[in-house]
Amino acid sequence: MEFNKRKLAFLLAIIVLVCSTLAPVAYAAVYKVGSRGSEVKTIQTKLKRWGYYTGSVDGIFGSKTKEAVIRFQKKNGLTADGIVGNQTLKALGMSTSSSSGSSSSSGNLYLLAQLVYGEARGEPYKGQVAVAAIVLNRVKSSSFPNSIPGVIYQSGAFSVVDDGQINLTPNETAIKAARDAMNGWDPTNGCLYYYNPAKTTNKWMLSKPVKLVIGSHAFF
Amino acid sequence: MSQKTKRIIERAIVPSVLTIALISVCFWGISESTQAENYKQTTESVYRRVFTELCDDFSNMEVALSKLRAASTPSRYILLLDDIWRLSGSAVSLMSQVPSSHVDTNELNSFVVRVGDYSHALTKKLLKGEALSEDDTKQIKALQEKCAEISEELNVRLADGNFPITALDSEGFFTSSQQDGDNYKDTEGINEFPTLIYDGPFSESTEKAQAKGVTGDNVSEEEALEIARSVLEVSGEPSQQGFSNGTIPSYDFTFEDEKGNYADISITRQGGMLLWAMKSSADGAAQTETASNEPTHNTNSSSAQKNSTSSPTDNTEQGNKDNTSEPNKNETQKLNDAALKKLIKLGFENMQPTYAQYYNGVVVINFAATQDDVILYNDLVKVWIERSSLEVVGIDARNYLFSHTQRELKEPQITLEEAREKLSKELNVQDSNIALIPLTPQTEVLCYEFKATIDNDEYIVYVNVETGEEEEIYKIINTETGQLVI
Repeated sequence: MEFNKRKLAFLLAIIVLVCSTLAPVAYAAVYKVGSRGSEVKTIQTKLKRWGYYTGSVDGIFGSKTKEAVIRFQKKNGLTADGIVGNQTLKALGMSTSSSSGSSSSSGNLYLLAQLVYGEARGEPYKGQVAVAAIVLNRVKSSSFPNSIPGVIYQSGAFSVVDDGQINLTPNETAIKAARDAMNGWDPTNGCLYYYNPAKTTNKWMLSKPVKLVIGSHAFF
Repeated sequence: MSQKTKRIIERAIVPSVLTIALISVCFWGISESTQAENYKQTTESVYRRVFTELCDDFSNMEVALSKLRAASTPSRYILLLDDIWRLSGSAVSLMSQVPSSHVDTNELNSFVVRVGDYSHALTKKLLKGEALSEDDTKQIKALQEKCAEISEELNVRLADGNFPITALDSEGFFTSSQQDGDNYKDTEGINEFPTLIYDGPFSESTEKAQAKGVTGDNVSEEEALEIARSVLEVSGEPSQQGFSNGTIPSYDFTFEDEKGNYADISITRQGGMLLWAMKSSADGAAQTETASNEPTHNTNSSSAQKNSTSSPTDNTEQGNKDNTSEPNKNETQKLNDAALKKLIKLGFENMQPTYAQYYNGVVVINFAATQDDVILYNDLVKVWIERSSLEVVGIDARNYLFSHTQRELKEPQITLEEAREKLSKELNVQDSNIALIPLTPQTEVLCYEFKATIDNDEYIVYVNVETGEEEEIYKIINTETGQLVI
């Protein structure tokens, strides 16, 4: 009997596993105890700056962070549950997916920020601006489509478009990087291409002379 | 548990659960594959449509170009050129939708863009009353022949059904480039495009333009480092340094302070001039992160709403008056003064503030050079200033270095008053200046600049000081983050 029970449990576990891996991955914009990552870091930085949080900015949502969030929520008339959802994110001044791209004039900026976030969120700030500058240099070049969406969604141009990372919500840094690039800062000095030498297998890319390197990207 | 129940579980429940699981997996698989097939059909239809339309555009473009060779009057020329411009725009848009990589499409794309750009330049030329030159006739002939070739090639492939319909089988479709070991070489005639000589935003001469403002001898890396230190007002060694071989070759340095803040700077190799410099904080979230004031964060009252903007990124400083909101006159003056002080220190003389953008606690002010009180709009230096501390955190002199030289300014043939008379009667003029504006990438014209309004909309109108022609009209759009000039 014990054997059969285990067999059954195993079978069900497999079915559940198969089904769950097939379900689309949802990116929920909710941060609570146990959450990690750069967004948590941003939350902690902000709470610390405003004097709600005294712990270390480590990107791990622990009990100290929760207490700070509750204090922040109480002060701002939000439900004090210690969970950072859309309302609290908004109050913290962090962009939520619902508030994004609301005005058409910032549509291109937001799309550019999404690309920066998807392609280069781990890069130094200069490297993030550089990715945005590549897009803008392409818009100005005769060899590429003449709009920001045209360049970003061009077939095979950016891997994050193929794997869907382009749809992630960009953080403030990525948005600022996109703005700085749109205001004219071009750390690439006129380059049109970049690749990650550690990852690319594209021989055409590798055959071109590199003009400069920023972080883990080579530009030409 | 009795033997009976055990047998029921073994003989009935286990197999039936397994069967149900199997059946549901089968159903799920069928529905998934049907869905995938639907998606595939839809995408393929889109690609077929795009490809067919692209073939049409090339055919029509070829026809218009050949008619152009047969035409003789300016009005006919303009109608045909206008048509070519439109077709080129449509073809460029379609090219960006085909499932071919940018490596594959970029030469053909460039050709199509330049056909349109050239047509537009010719239209402008004809509208000014000039005639087409002999070179233009030759170029039009070359374009028509090339277009015919491309059109034929593509239409053959269309008839054969041999065109990329999935992103996977499209490598090298437009270039037919063949990989020969690590070398790429182009094999088919479709790659050799005629060179066009004209003045437009996408012309070869514009894309390969040299920086006019970069002069002097080459400097060594040590000399460049000294210049970098004095611009940034830092001492010590850079944490990173390198050479960038971009459009303006430069030495790049990164300095890092003990708090982990960065200062990046780029100094031109020729002349040792400042190309750009930018400070950012450790996590890149930049200058606003250093603001330490704001003990209580207030979002509940309507008073906070007054100063705040609805920009998704900038709600952070809702209670903080000096963020995205437009500054008052007093603050603008202070920001301009701080920027000018730094510019003079860096050797940029006679600069005048033009328009500004506000975001994330910083302002970007565009300063234009002036010569004898004439504003040179091409010679821009952008200055980033932190609004809370008035510290200059970034400078970009790229535009300035590209165009700044001593200009030969023409004598006005008409007076400011005469120019003003020519303006639309609807305009309510507020201010006027004299400025040198870019008409095409390689030509500038001296104009009277009129800042005017119609109802609550603001405009800038430029009138040629020699001919009295209206050269350009801009509309100013006031956004939450500053002024946009369109």
